[in-house]
Amino acid sequence: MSGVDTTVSSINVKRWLAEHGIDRLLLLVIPAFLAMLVFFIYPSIYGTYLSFHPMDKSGALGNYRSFFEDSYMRNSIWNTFRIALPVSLINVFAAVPLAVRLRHKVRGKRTINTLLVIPMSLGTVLIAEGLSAYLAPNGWFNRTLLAAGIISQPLQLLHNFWGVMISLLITGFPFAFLLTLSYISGINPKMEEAASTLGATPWQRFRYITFPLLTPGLAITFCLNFVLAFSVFPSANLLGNPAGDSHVLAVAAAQAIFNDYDYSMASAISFISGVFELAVVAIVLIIRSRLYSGSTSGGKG
Amino acid sequence: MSRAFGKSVALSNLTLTIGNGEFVALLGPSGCGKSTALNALAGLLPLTAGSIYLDDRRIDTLPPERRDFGMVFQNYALFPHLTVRQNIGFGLKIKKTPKSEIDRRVNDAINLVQLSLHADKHPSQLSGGQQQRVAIARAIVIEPQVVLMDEPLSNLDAKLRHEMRSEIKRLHRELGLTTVYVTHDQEEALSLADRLVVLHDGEVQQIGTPEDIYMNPTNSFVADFMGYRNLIPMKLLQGGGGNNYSVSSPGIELTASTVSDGANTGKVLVAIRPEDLLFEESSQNNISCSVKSIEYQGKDFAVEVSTENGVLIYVRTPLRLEIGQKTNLTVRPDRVLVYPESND
Amino acid sequence: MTIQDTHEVSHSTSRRVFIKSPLGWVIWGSVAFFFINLLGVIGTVVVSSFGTEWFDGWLPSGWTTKFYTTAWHDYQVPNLLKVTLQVALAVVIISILVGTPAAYVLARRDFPGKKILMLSFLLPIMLPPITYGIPLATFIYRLNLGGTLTGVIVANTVPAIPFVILVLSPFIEQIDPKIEAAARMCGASTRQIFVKILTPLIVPGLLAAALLVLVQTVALFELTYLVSGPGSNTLVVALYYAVFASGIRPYQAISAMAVFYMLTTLFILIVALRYVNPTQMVSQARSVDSK
Repeated sequence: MSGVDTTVSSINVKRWLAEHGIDRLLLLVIPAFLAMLVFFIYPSIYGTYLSFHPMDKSGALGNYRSFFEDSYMRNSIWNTFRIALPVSLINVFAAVPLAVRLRHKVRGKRTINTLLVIPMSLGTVLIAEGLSAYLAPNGWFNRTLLAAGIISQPLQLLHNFWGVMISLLITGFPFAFLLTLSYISGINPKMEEAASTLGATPWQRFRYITFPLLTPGLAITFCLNFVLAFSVFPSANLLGNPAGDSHVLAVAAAQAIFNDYDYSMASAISFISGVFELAVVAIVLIIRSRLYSGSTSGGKG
Repeated sequence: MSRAFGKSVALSNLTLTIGNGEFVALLGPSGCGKSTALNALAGLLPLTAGSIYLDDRRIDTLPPERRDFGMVFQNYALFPHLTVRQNIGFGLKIKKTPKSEIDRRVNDAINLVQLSLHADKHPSQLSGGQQQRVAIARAIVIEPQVVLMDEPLSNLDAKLRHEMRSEIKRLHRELGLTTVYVTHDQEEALSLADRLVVLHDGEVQQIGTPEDIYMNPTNSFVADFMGYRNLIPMKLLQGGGGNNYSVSSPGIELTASTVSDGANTGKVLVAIRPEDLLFEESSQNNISCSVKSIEYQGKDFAVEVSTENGVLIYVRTPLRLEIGQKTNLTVRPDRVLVYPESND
Repeated sequence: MTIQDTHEVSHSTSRRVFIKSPLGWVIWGSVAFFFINLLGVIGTVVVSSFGTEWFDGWLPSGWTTKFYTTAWHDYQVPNLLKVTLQVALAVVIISILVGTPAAYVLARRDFPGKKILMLSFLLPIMLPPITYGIPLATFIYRLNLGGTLTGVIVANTVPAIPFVILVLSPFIEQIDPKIEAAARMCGASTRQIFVKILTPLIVPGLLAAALLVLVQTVALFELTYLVSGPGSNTLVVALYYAVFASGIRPYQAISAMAVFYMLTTLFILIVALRYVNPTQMVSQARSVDSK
């Protein structure tokens, strides 16, 4: 009898496995998962653990205490926000009008899309390097403005917060634009046609139909842009004032590694940076979930 | 009006005058230009030639939002982020109607289409038929000069389609709004319309009342589309006196009294309705045939017979026959329609 | 209401009023401003790399190409190119090999723990490289891979694998599972289905993923910066060091270096754009949204 029992229970196990989609096929995912486990999850956990073991042996919260007690370090949080928030907001809201215009088959749409990909792929380092010459007091930008009589003195755009902002705008705007364009293309144009037959002007169509449906996508675009801006690093060093108002969290962390060889402190700073950034993302996502975020195709078929 | 895309003409030479309160249906197969016509009327597509007048006022230069037409779209195009109530009230809100009046009129519309239980739901929570009714209510609540409907029933299953058809008929009776209705379903068009416009490849084939078009199609395309399932190539011989002409093909000799212009002696297409063929003996127009297949349709049978020469004829009859049975068909001469061989 | 064909010249109600409205002007003006400045930024770099000296004035006082040769040797550009290429190719190959099966499983199957698995794949994309790069770098140094080519490759694979998964998923989802069912009914084994049916169908997706990973790896600064050493720097990191530690070298050489980097990136970009739509470069972010 017991032989039959084990056969029955093994059939039950097999059925349970099959119903839950577990079979040998799942083995295919193991290599990728292992890679993530070993090189991402484990180091992150290890890093967090390390942050609680400061080099000067001052107790579990030692790193954090010294971070928040030092005003220079504490201000790095404010410095980072001061750059990341406005940049993300500007990028997202500047992307909207352009995406609305380019949504239909306008001549040159493909060209503009392609051209916009260029700053994104050139990357922050090259743009920063170029800006450091272009925005210099005797660089082309200031020269043109002076020659046109718009300003009487060269603008100080380097070695301060402005240079960093401009560099982030250049690399971040195309990304925000292409993403917004992709969201706006997902809104069924028939709905706006329906609105027009009901008497809505183009502005009214945008205000009551397009924009509400776009907002959830804008929230995501903002989050992604914010994440990129929050971790600004090369431009802060190259164009900003890394000892002053461009002393952002990423710079502080890198300095902890390369100047002080204090991996523990660096991990602590990364942890703090991650917490703040995820907090902002979480807030935005909560707001987003209150908005309509279902299908934008407007009905059956 | 006309509309051409480059070299291809989507719609040409549609000339039509619609009276107040009239229900006009644009009928034809896919790609015949009926949706193009409707969209051009709405202002969603520009015309390449021609004009549109509303009571002596020229409107084809106006954008859709200024034309005061209501439109029901094929896929409803409801606003997913608004409730049923907000969807219906959208047009009134745009017109800046006072809130109390919006509420009153929206409630009337909701009751009219029997959606009171669902008024505060979102479109995604509604069934297809319910979404349909929201779309209709949204278009009519603004009391437009004309209501445009673009194949509104084509996404519904058969039973729902019949129900909604009655709804639309009832609404038209109660409200009397001028309506232009696009469909590819001839049954729908026949039951709803005061007048029909049949289109094919962008050209108007025939304009007339449902009965006109059903009984007297002007060419073989319209006949085919309206259910004259038997289209037999035959030869037209000289008349046997008066209005009677003879048509013949191997094994079939018929007398026809309805011959369209352009059918000369020679090759013609003869159209006969399946319902007009009777399994009887008569003094003229007898066709001997044998039964090939029988489909039970409930109230009658769809029977396929074959003549000795292999010509297939489709008949509808309440009689119960048997496969292989040899029998005789007859048809009245005025129900034998003769057309020129090609329609161009 | 009357609709007439009056044989008159048409009045097409054009809705292309973009250029005419003032908002249209503002938008196109801003776009032009953006591109003009972008051109200026790139132009400054290119022009300065060819100049003899450029202290004041719109343009350098003379022209030369000698700084290109200087940069070529001083920065060991051939070696850099070799390293960058090696890293990029290795990362592409590994991430595609590992990511494709994973993408397939995620697209086709639902199983307990799937959400956790997906989260572990999404996090490296949602978090900035610095945040997880520092713990990763610590770990790599502990493994004594710090400063080596292997270390750089490993580090860059971390964001690449999820990227491949995210780009490939929509391609796989588009393939009707019934095709695989039909193949099975004809007697094909899983391996045969993969090789003969699936792979040919997702080739466009594989190409897109490979090219996007290539672009990303070449341009990605932070991760390589944290784990590389003198023999294992990629172009972008070397450029950064060149600018940052610019006391010794003449700035024209730095600009020349920047031009080398730019040409490499643009070359890869042009190749990539032949096969990939620009919007696909951000489609990975939209798929994040739908998860």
